[in-house]
Amino acid sequence: MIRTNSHLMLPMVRIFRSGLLAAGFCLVCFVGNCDGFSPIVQLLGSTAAGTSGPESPLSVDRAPLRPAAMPSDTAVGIVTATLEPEAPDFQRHVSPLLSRMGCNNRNCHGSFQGQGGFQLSLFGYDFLADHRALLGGGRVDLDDPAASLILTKPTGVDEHGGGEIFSSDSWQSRLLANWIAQGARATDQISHLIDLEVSPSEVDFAQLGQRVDLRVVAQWEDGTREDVTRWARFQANDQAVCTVDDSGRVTSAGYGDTYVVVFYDNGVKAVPVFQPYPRDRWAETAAAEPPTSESAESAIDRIIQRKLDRLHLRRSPLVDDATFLRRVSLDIAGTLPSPQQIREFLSDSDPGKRARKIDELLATPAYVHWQTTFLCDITGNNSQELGGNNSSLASQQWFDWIRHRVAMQVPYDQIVRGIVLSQSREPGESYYEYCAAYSQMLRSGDTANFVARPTMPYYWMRNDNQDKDARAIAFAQNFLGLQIQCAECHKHPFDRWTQEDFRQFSRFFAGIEVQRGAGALAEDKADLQRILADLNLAGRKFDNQAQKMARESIKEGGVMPFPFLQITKPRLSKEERQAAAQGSKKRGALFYTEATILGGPRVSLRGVDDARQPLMDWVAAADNPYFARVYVNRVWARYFGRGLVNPLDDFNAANPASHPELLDYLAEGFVTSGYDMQWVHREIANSRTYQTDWRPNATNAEDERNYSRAVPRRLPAELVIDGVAQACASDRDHARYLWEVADRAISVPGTTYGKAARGNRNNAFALTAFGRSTRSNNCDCDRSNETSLIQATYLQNDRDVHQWINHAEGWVSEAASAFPDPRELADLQNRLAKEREQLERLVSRREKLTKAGREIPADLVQRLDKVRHSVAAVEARLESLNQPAEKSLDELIADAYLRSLSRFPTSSELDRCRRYIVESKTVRDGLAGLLWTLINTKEFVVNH
Amino acid sequence: MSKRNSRDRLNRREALHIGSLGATGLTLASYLQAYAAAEFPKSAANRNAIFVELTGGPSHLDTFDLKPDAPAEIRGKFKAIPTKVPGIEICEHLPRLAMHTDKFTIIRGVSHSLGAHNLGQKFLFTGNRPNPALDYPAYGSVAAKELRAPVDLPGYVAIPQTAQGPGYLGVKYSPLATNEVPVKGRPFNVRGIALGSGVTLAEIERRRDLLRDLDQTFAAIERESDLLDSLDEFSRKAFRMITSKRTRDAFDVSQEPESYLSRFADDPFSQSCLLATRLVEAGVRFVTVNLSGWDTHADNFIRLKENLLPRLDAGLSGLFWGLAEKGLLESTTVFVTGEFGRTPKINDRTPDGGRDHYPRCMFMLMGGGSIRGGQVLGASDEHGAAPKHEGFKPEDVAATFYQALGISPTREYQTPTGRTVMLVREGRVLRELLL
Repeated sequence: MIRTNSHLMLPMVRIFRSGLLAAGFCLVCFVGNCDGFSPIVQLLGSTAAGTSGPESPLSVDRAPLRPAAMPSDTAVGIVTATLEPEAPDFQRHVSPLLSRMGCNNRNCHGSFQGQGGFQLSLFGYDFLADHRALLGGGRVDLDDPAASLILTKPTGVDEHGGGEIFSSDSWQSRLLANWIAQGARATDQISHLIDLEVSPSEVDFAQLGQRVDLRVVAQWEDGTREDVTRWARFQANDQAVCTVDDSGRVTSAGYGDTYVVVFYDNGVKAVPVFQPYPRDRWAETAAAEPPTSESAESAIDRIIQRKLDRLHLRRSPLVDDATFLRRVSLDIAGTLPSPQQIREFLSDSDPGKRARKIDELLATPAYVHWQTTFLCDITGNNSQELGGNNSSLASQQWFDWIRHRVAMQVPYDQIVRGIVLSQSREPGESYYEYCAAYSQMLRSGDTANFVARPTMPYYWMRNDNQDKDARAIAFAQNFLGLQIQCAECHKHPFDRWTQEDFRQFSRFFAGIEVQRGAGALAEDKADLQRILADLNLAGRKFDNQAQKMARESIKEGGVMPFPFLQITKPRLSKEERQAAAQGSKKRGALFYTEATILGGPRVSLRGVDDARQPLMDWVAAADNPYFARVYVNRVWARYFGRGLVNPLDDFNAANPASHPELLDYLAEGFVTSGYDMQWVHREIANSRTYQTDWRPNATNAEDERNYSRAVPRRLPAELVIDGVAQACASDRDHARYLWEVADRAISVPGTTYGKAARGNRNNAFALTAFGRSTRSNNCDCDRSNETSLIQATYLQNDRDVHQWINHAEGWVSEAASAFPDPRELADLQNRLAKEREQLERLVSRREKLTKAGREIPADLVQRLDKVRHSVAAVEARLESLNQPAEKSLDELIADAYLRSLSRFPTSSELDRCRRYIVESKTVRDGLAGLLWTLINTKEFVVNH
Repeated sequence: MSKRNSRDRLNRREALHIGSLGATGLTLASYLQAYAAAEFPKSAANRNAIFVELTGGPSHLDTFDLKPDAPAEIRGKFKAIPTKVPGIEICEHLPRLAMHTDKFTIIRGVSHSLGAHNLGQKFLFTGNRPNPALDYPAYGSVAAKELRAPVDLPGYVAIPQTAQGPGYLGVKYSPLATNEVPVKGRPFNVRGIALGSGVTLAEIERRRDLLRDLDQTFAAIERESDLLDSLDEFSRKAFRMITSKRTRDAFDVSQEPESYLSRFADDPFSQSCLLATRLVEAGVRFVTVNLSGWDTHADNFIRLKENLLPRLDAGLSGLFWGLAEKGLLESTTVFVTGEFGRTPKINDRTPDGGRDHYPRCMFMLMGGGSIRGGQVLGASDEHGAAPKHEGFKPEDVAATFYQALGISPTREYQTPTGRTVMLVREGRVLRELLL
């Protein structure tokens, strides 16, 4: 049996995952203990938005601005007045009541251990189990309903750990008593909820403190409609804007917009709430600002503007050219503009120069690498999880495979296809040929042959991506922006996903196997024997020692075994087979015959060899609700510091987009463009919205979510490190950063780093300190843009930073050498005088010897030569210093500003800098101090 | 990418917002005070910790849990020796540490089930069983969040590094890594702290003045922005640290008197311990030190006897002696652990024999501040194969460690994704371990 290091690890991961699950322990919520999700759900991104029903979580309301529509009772069915239903139903009334009272949340009976011997399904929706639990343990007394524990406990008649929940004469109490009196019947057949109608469908507040009552009508599949306001749960996503109480009364609390989310049964509906900013401020700035001359409003701008108008927000003016150039160069290409580029751009009078610049940047290698880093974040190019001894090469191959395709402008869906549908071995490639090819790659370290392969298999080979559940979770987060891990153990608390949805979905990933020795084919085994025999390892365990030997032999042209992906029909796990076979003598099924796409159709897997294929077809279909939206949302966040949906990977019905229409527009455009990633960049970067100034006006200082002004963002880790090095580089090097990218931090492929050699940007210390993505948790939050003490220490005093500033080939040296420094001048004159004296002495000695007719000693000749050269050099240097300086001090200061902050200094800044340099010991010291200072401004480390 | 919603405190804008509505009457000043107080609870004043990582998984049977009566294939080659505390015996190759057993407790029979190095380390060095969906913070990161450090000193230092990050607490609570260890007899400088490349203190101060004058672009919006505000805050703290003589001195072990230095061996681990005592004395609240190489699958006894145990003996005895000498033992909790124990049965891969990974039974040491020393807690069975009786979980020790530091182990945090997570879930505080 072939064993490798990474192989040893896999079962461990599996064991501890399944161990926890088997122990009834939710890995994500840690339910089973008292921690986990807060029962109240204000934790969702405050941008939450959208009005989406349970049937289509992203079927975005296309007219968020329409007047509030009141549901009509004359519509299909009749709204039953159900303040106190005559015949309470378990699913429709009892179970929602338990949810609403919080009985089934994690701190109470929803805990996996239950509470006081009574356990309900977490967040409800397991009607059978919940009914069983309610009827057990004397909790329901059919003969004497009033004596039922489910009545006496929550009313405080009997001792209840949760205290008194409602009083004995409350409607809740009457409802439960009524239900018990009628036989405490279970739900025979689950009713399917078609829609939740909430009225008003939008809330427009006119002033703070105003209140609106929401009314919730459930529309069931059987045609009945029922007012369920009393059974619904309500949540305000941003309580700074509005609050909502248990009865559905919404109260305006502050300016801005948010959503109130309504939950009932498995339905989730988000109601947009608007509280416009004071109109007087708006009017003032409207009067103060000249009529807009910006004709090029894009579709993005129109959508953004509509909401600004509604909120009485006025956007800040168009950003100036210099700030625009810095912003867009960093966002698209991860690179500071060079002083030369800035000067050219500022003096260019072409009105289309911004669009041209965007195109130019998109054509640079720096863009390709920065975009590749982004895609490696999404797909999780984590070297540690690639295990084994070849992980750094594998990470490089992963990076280069994507990089090549980004450079060739391969569409996003094609790149994802190449990853999702990957095969290690090409059709017809024998195991021997495969191992020979990979051995050759390892020998040469060159990635070209790997890049040429049509697919990229490492995604499925990550150590942490080895069981179908882990894969389902990763896939949903990576490509669909969905957090489905909740549903692995219990109903998703805010979305519609149930455990059954999860189980059905994870089946798509049950046919992916990493073969670490030979595969299923007989010829594979023969090939393996041949390889091991050639390595003189036949019959030996392929342990660390053997691997080491094999790697040695590779250097001499040998071939060693490599793991590969083997795709089979999706298989049942051993436990599932046993469970399926239980009670019958027949062997259980080996393969799944069907699986269900999240929120999508049931897919037959009969005759399907690779279940990834139907999944991928669904993912990349034009009407997929997630795939394109999640991508454009992530790109949007790179330009604005926040997504239209936040968190970026938490698309769910309770967390709608701040601008649903815009998300639709970008996603549709992206699909129509043929998933052209550059289309998205171009569309966003060319918008007036992106080109808005960061300076607030009287209306928008408090707005951070409607794009009325640019909000400063800290540079991502890679760009901080590259940016500091670039700001310190010579003029020539600075100008080449867009094209010469090999040594840059944006070219670090995986998550292992080089030794912390001086001046090395492939440096774990700095990149980690600034929060480069760890690519470890299937979370967009693996990347951090937080600030820290170590970051500040790094910028102020790290040896790398000092070294870059003072580098002999850096800008400070270059600039100082072109500038006559009084102190150097004096030094040189002194030195010249001394050396001339010495020269005279030597010359006169030689003359004396010559006169005396004696031989001239060789060392005297040598010394004379040396001093003569030295004198000539000093004279030349003095001569050059006597030339008028190439640049004035003011010009050098301007250069320092341009190369770091990408703008000219103001006149007061110029004065201050001049004073600082003049007070410095030398001009060189002064320039070094100035550059240090500029790097340490907030302006440098944020994009604005 | 945008920062996840952090709900464990109001952001400033929200606070201003509330204030302006008069809903709470919260003023900016009182908000800032509340903010500062929340960041630095006073409850844990004067508690420090030194965390010793023995990476690789040290054999319990050959160190602190010897089985002299077990068969030879389990017992191994080492003898037990008596120690300062009657009745406590440890390995003969730890003679100097034997003189300090009154200062710490040996915990035996700690048990878990993760036999891979990285998973075991994640478990033991965070106190939480690893979870693919969530990164737990290292002990030191929690301490950095909960224990207040002097303004000019880092709260949490790793000598030279630690693999465990701040997890869900965020990069703010990363350690300052020294990256190098002191070398005996030489001055010691740390990246980022020591002024280098010819930059003098006076020059740094001139630059600071210049920075204050030039860094005005965002002056008008700084108050409204958490980002700009925290950049300023950290920049000021970094500057204080860099220019502080106390900080530079704290790292420069060569300033200790010879009588102190002579008690620490000329070895990276001993020198790390020396630095740790000095840092704690200066006001650093949490220090990790590391002695690696315990993965003795082969040549177990040779490697322990000739390398690992002498180094551990010299370092830990120096550490306990030094803390006592400086009067810091009462305030500084020392926690020593690897990621697992090693198999009772000796393998025959090499003539000297080896032991393999064994999470089911391991030892730990804990001593100093708040800890009752001079005892053995728990026990393993006659072959060191499993805990005798119930045994301890790593979570139990973790909860006790936090308790010793004055940090409630049941404290809850919000993760970046808004989940509520308890600091140590399922941990039982071991009262017997505490004073």
